[in-house]
Amino acid sequence: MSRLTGFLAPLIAVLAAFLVGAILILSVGKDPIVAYTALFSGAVGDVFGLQLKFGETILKMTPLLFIGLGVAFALHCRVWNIGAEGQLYLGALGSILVALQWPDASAWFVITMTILASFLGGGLWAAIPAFFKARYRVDEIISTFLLNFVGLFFISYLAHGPMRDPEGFMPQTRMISENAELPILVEGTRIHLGIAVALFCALVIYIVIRHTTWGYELQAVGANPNAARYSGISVGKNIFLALVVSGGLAGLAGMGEVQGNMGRLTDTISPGYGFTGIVVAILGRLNPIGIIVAAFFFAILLVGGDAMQGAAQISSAIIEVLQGLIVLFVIGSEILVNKSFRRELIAKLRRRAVTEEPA
Amino acid sequence: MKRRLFVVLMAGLALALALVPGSAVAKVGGKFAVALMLPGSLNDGSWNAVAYKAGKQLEATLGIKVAIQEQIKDSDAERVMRGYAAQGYNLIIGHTFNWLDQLYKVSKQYPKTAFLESTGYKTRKNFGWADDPMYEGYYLCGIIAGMLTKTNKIGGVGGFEIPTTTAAIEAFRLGAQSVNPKVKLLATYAGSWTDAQKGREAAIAQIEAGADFVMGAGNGLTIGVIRGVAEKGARTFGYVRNMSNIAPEVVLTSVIWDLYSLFKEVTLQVMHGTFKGQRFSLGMARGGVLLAPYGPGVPDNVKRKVDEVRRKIISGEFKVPFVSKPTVGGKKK
Amino acid sequence: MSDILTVAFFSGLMAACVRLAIPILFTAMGEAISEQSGILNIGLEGYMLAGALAGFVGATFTGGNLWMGVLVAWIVGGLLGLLIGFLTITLRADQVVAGVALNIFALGATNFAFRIIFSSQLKSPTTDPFPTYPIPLLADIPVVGQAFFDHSIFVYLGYLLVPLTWVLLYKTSFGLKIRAAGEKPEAADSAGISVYGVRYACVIIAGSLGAVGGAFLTLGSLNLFVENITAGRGFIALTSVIFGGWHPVKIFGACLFFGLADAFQLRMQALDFGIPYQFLLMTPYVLTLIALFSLAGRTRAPSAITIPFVKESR
Repeated sequence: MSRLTGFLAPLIAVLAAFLVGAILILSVGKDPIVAYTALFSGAVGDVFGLQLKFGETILKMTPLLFIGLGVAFALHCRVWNIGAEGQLYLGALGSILVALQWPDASAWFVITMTILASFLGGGLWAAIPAFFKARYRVDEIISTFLLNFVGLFFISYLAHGPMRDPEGFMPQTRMISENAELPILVEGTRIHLGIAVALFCALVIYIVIRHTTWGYELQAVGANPNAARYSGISVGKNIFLALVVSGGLAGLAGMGEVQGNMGRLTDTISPGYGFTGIVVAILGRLNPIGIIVAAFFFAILLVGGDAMQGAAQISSAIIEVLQGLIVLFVIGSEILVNKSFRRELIAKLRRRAVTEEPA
Repeated sequence: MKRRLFVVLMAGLALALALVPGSAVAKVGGKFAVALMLPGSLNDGSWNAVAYKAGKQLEATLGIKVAIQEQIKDSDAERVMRGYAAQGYNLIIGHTFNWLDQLYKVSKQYPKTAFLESTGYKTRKNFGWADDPMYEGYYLCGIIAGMLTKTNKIGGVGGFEIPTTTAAIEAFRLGAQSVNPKVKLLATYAGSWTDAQKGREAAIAQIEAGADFVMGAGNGLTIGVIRGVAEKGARTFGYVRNMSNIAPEVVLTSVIWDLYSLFKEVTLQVMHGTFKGQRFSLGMARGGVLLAPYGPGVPDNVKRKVDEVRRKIISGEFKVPFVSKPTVGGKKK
Repeated sequence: MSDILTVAFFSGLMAACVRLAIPILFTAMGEAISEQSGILNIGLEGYMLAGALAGFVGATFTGGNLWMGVLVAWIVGGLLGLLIGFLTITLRADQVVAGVALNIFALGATNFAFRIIFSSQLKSPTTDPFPTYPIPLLADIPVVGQAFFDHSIFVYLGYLLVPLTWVLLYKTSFGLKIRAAGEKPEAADSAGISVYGVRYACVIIAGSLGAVGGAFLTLGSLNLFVENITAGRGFIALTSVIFGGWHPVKIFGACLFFGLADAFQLRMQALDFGIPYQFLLMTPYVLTLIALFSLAGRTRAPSAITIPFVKESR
């Protein structure tokens, strides 16, 4: 019974949210069936023809997956990374700097370098709050959050000024050359290398968390820092690394957007992935596989939402309401989920170890 | 074990969804169809709202299908426009200045579809762009401000330092300085097109620094600017549409962009097969931009001067300079 | 340079500082109460937006009665607080995600409601602003008087909120219960305090105050509604709470600090010192970061914050 609730609860929640959404759609005189069909067929329709839709959903999923993985990674250590948005931009900066530096080099070289550079960019940006959290216990929720704005405005300054495209007209950097464009994995779509890198990262994280000492240390620090310290684990170092890796992953999301979607660095490459990624991490229950699924479903919502707007002529406001409702209902349904999942999650987030079986 | 089951069930669901019959590329059918893509809210009272109204009007008067989508983010633009092109829309309009790359790229893939961007700089056989002609209107507003200012300080509040915004603010300065060389311009970029309270405070800051005429270039931003001006008793101008109803005593006029005429002209060209990827300049000379009826307190001599310059612009005798790099505020040239 | 050393400049600057700080202040006070009881709410944007629209609707449909607007905002905010409370306290959902979800939901819901209620129109309805009342004697103090004591009652209520919150938290038995629920909920529970009840009360108050903060934008400042009128102020309020170490008086200082940085940066742009505007826009955040990092380690969150309390069965 409990296995089934693990699956049914979020499903029922999503259905309930769709039901409320349907009422709203009816209230403006539109047909919910048409709308919802448009949503799904707009996102995953015609998979085997791999037309625009499914490919675009995968494209949308890529940054969400990177950031979801990053946020979840840090959360194992009970560190909240609310700064993924800024780290994404700093990673994008690393990516564009490298790409523009070597417009004629071999693609493999450039792309390897941009992967490193973007990871570094995001990681360094996260290192600032990470240091202050590890060393001085400065609350990371606020420090990472504030750095979003600083990062964004800094990139905006660069794009408007020193890095501005001299040929162009708009405040944005030059376009990357072909060698830096992420190779397309599936012909006819825009699915690029980014998703493969992201899935690879998911695998690596899975192994690290499950099967390495470091993973064990991270979780120990997250569960009970004092106990961890007594057993010789360096709490500060783990907190620092957790947040830096988290930032690096967000930086990779930036790389994906610059080299796989926009082709340049502008101040609008992210429509809030840094925050949606947090939701993805939690809905995915901090588990790489769950995050992959959550990222995929969220991408469906976002891509399908646009299609819904276009096809069924429903205002974007309803779609935003629907998205909010879905998240609210799903997290509300969590309590119905298998108790050991919940206990695991709380144990990851609590300071004190759980000592009782529930009645 | 439970986790695995969960994943398997999720994957199954995903597969099931994948088999949803793709209304994959539902063609629009025989009717001529225009897709209007808006970057912001259709309810913002200016940039997007005016385009929305123009689109609806187009639908009604020409009897064609006009699909309007709002709140399209830059990172989604390419996907959305490709979607419309694949469905067989005849004309796709991107009503912003940030989607040049995407429109350029997608127009290459769909040579039979016409594409239009509101401001841009590159063209292709089937991709053109339209001037944002409002800077001409702001030149005239500058004349009004220059003639009426008592402090010789005027202000411009923009959202971001985008060429068309800067051009509007600079034209405001040039117009004022053409009748009053002592006028000094204050410029503030608020970092948002929609933050009304920022607009209000920016206007107040400029007024306290001595400006008695403040113009706003932004959607919610301008509305805030007008409120700030109203509170401090300075004077201002509306953006994209007649904004005098927000604060009738202080809005002397508004720069109106006739998007309907622009869209109609382009649509008709596409319908008759005469569309060329070119720069569409529907400026003051062609009625693309006009001034709203005057508010209170504009003396006759000012109106006469404005008429005189307006005539020169329309006849082509005088061309309002398009200054895209700010001389004040923002990053200096 | 001589432009900024005038009395008028300082006075204008401080007055703008207060105007920018007040909406954040209401919201931050509410959130401080909620966080002291152990509930973190990232969804302050949602409360403020909802309150902004609710207040505006309340005022518009009662013929311009601004106080009715405030009341409607208060109620709507309270209901949202109740919803969040239900999610995070009874259903024990994750608080951070609940907040993010509330923000997404509120943005869509307010846009939707605004369009339905006022239908897509090119004209924006407006209300009349609150009249301002200079406080006698205090308003005559040079520089400071004009800045702080010549505002509307709404603003003065904001000032009053600070000592009221302080008294609530530190001088009443209820305040004691709040802080106990936030620090050591198990101990509080054994002592007979209803942790659930206290947290519910706090989260509802936070919702109401947050909504009133948003209502200030539409009733006391701009007097009209545009979509996404809060534009991130909810997050600034959250920052103020932590920057102010969860203490009402220090939070007041933090709000003023933010207001000041913002007002200052706008004036710097107006005076054209040639600094790229992005750096000026950054200043409120950078300054807070610097302050945060230098106050390192000296402030501490309530111990039980973000951890759902599970009442042990006996």
